[in-house]
Amino acid sequence: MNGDILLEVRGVSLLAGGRILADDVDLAVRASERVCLVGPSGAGKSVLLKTVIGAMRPARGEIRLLGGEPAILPEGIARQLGMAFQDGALFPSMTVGENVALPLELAGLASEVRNRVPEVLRRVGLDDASDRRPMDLSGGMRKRAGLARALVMRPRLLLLDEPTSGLDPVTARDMAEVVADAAEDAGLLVVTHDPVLVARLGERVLVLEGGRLRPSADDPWWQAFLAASHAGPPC
Amino acid sequence: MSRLDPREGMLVASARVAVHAFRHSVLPVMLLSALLALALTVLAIRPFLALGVPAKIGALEGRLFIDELMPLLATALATARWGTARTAEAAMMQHGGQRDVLRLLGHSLATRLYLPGVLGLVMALPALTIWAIWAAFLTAALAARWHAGLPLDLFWSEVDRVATPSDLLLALVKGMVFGVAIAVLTTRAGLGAAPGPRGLAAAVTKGVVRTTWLVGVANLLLTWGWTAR
Repeated sequence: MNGDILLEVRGVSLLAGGRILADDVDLAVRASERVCLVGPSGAGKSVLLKTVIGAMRPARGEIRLLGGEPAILPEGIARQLGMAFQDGALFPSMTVGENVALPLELAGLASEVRNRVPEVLRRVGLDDASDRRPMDLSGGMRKRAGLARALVMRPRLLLLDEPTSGLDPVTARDMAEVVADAAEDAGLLVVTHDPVLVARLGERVLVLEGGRLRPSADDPWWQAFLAASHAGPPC
Repeated sequence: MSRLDPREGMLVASARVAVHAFRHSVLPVMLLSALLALALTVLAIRPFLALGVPAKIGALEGRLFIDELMPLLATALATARWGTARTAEAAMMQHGGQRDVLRLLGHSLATRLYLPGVLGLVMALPALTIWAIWAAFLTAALAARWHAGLPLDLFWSEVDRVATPSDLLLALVKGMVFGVAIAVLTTRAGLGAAPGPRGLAAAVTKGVVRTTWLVGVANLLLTWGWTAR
């Protein structure tokens, strides 16, 4: 496998609830490459992300994640991979700051907490929420805290599941900038319905629809998406 | 709810589970044990009085409380209070993404969720059982005295005559085994929960029902095995 490839999915069939959601999925994310994954709700985009990290098993096919198999995540994976989940996936017993610091502490980088955590919280606009508990935050704030946790390790590969959904348009635009900045040095695979995020990041846009993953060019669903969102094609 | 903190080591997490489960269950366990002992004593003392041997109530309750009722009562309360909360917590972790976060941070469910629960309840359940037995005997002795005029020392001598250290050991072993059952089955039910409130409700029911069945069967096997020695 090419060493430049951070994530490679070959001939994968996505399985959820005993049903095949998508067949013969091929996908590769290289270093510093930004890939947007779009498609209608229920098409299997989030399932693809969960399958990539080994949380769900594919019916068939092969996945290589940072050089290893997702089912047996390589040693030190937390230093290389950051993932932000739809609802933030924060631990309710810990403050926002503690949640964001968690990857550093578990990776033995506690000495970095003092510098990196305030910095990454400031980037996502949560610098004054460090001591608050997740249950005291809005859905959008939890999502931003989850993004901060994904960024704090400065990973080589970022997997983001709808990082701007549920945010107000201004905050969503700001988050798109944060994600774009973070992706300067990392490979990025982002699942989104946000046309602004796609326009900002989408150097490569893939559509998962009707059980198939294909490039966006001339895809009817993608054209309908653009028309509905009044957004131009990605820059 | 006992909330998971991934920064804790396994021993600390286990100790926290033990303290949490004990602290939140010990008073209800003691109260229910006392009420059950009171009802049983009031009910059973009449035939013994009619036979002219009221002190034998101590012999009956001696092994009944230690070997059977109080381990089961402590287990039922721990399942209801700690087990249902654990099912909800595990379901939240499953559907909220925390389970995947743990995995990506290089930590397994076994070391972060199952083992602390098992070790914690292996410590807490025997302790709860001891307090249940103590509350039950105290109440039964007082009830027998109040209801039938049975002197306390006579009641205790009958208990002492039938109940051996082996019975107490059986109660402790049962507490440990039932603790393992509660921790594993209620956690597993939560991790297998379907999304949404209905899924959570079904998972809580499944966890309690499966634990109850397993505890019932394990109790029978342990009693048989112990008495056959």
